[in-house]
Amino acid sequence: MRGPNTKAFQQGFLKNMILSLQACSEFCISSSASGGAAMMSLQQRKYAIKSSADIAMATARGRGARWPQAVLASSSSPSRRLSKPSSSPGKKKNTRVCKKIVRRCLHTWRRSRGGTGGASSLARTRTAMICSREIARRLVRKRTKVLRKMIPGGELLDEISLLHEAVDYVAHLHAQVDVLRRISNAVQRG
Amino acid sequence: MRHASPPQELPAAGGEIQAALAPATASSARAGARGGGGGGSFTALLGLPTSQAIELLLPRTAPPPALALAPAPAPAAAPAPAFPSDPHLVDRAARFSTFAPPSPSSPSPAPPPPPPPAAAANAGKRKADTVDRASKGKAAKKGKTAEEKPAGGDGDDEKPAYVHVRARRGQATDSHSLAERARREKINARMELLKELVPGCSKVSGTALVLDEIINHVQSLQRQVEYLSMRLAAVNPRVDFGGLDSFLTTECGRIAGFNCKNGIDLEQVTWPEMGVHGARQLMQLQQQFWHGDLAHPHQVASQWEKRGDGHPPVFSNSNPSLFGYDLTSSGKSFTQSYIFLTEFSCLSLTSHISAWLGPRLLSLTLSCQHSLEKKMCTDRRTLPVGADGPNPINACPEPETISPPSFCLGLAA
Repeated sequence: MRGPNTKAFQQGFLKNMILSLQACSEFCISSSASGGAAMMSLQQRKYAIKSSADIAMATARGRGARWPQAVLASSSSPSRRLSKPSSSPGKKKNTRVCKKIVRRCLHTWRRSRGGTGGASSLARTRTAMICSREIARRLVRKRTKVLRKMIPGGELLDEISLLHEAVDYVAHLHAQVDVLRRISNAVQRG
Repeated sequence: MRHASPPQELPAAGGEIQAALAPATASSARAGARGGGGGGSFTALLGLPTSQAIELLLPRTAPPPALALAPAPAPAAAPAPAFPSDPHLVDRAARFSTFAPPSPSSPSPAPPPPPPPAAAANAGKRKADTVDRASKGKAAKKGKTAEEKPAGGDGDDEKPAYVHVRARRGQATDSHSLAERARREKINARMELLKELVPGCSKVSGTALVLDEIINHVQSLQRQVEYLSMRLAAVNPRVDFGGLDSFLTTECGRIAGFNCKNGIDLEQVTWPEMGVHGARQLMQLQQQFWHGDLAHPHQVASQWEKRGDGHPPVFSNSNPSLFGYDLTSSGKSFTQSYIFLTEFSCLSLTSHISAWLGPRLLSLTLSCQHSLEKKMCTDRRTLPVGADGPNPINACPEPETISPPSFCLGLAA
């Protein structure tokens, strides 16, 4: 069962998803058995479907990657919204840091321009190149941080394994989207 | 390693050994001139092909040409048979060869051109040095060529690194830059893979832009998953998809063998649902599960025929494979996911439905869990570590058993 694009993986994923959905529904039924028919809202249902799809994908993946473990761990812990409040001060910090960086670059560039005054264009271009290299490096680092947040379990990985996990995760996300689309088409048809 | 004879006879045998070395290099030089000296100017200087040069330079293999020729020119010398196999002797021989007057008129079958004896001397010295340094434990990654300085290496470091990683011409050879280069190559290889996977990335150059595309792609995929799940939730008033079973059977198709096993697993695993029909059928299933007792295949078959599958005939075939964990046919990951799901369903029963199904069911689920854990442990022991890298998922059984109830609880939150 190598590769997420094999039919075997998709079948396994399907089965897992059906099982988890059944477990969800039974839990709903049993929890609301005393209180009558308490239907889940759209949001709840959507969340149930999405998390069961994630879990199904993670379990169908089996060994060989780290993100399934992170997905399962995150789905089992009830604290899901803790990351939300911390993001806004983080964003402000990021913008502050970005502004500082840009200002510093501008300072060094202006200083070099003023200092050389046209005597050595080579030095000027060299400092400009160095500035651009620094900027590129910072951009890459920023994007790596964003990627770390998006890939489950990516916070603890180093760059090389992060890229490896990203490859794996993207392939499996493709398969998950495919299966979900097929399910929704089938349910709509009949 | 014969140390008895060499120490005394070395001063006398120095000339013989140099003679042995010289024809060796000369003959291999003749061979090497035909063979093409690619692989660095050092080996070209040596006049040897790369493989033979590696053999000469690395301490573990004695130079075979010397081995072949040593008995011939020095038949009377006692250490001659011992000479080729002893690297230490080779060291000392090399050192002595540098001390002996580098005479091109040494007794050799073919007149060696002036560079090879000097090269042999240099090679001997370098060989000794590399042997000494390499024995200190530097990992030999690839070929050598860390010492191409005198051959005209432009831009090389002045200090040879002796680190045995292939350093290309014109590049720094200290360990830091080599490690950095290895790391950069790994990162670039992974970026290439990602570029292939993410559509629209192939024409973009530069790490930052490619990462940008990848991030956008992953975000869009996650948003698609959310949208599709919203659509599914909107279509059904309830979460469970009863019609999905038929969808499953049609989707599974008619893949022989694998399909049957999967179908059986599914049917056997969805006994939480079958439990709705009555505890009696559950007892039958319990019997089938834990005693391998096929006394009542017909009742079970009747349940399956409700779903319209052709499974009963293959039930007996797959039952031993189910419990023998025939991994080769169906793949390890699926059986493990199966294990997880049976535990999952077991525990969901334990926590939520056991109240109205009675204590028998509780014991059933507990025994199910225990035997499954046991089987999982034995499974993992017999499984070769097929996963790449470390296996953090080895610790999975415990969190997996703990997680499902909290998952169910988490849904209510």
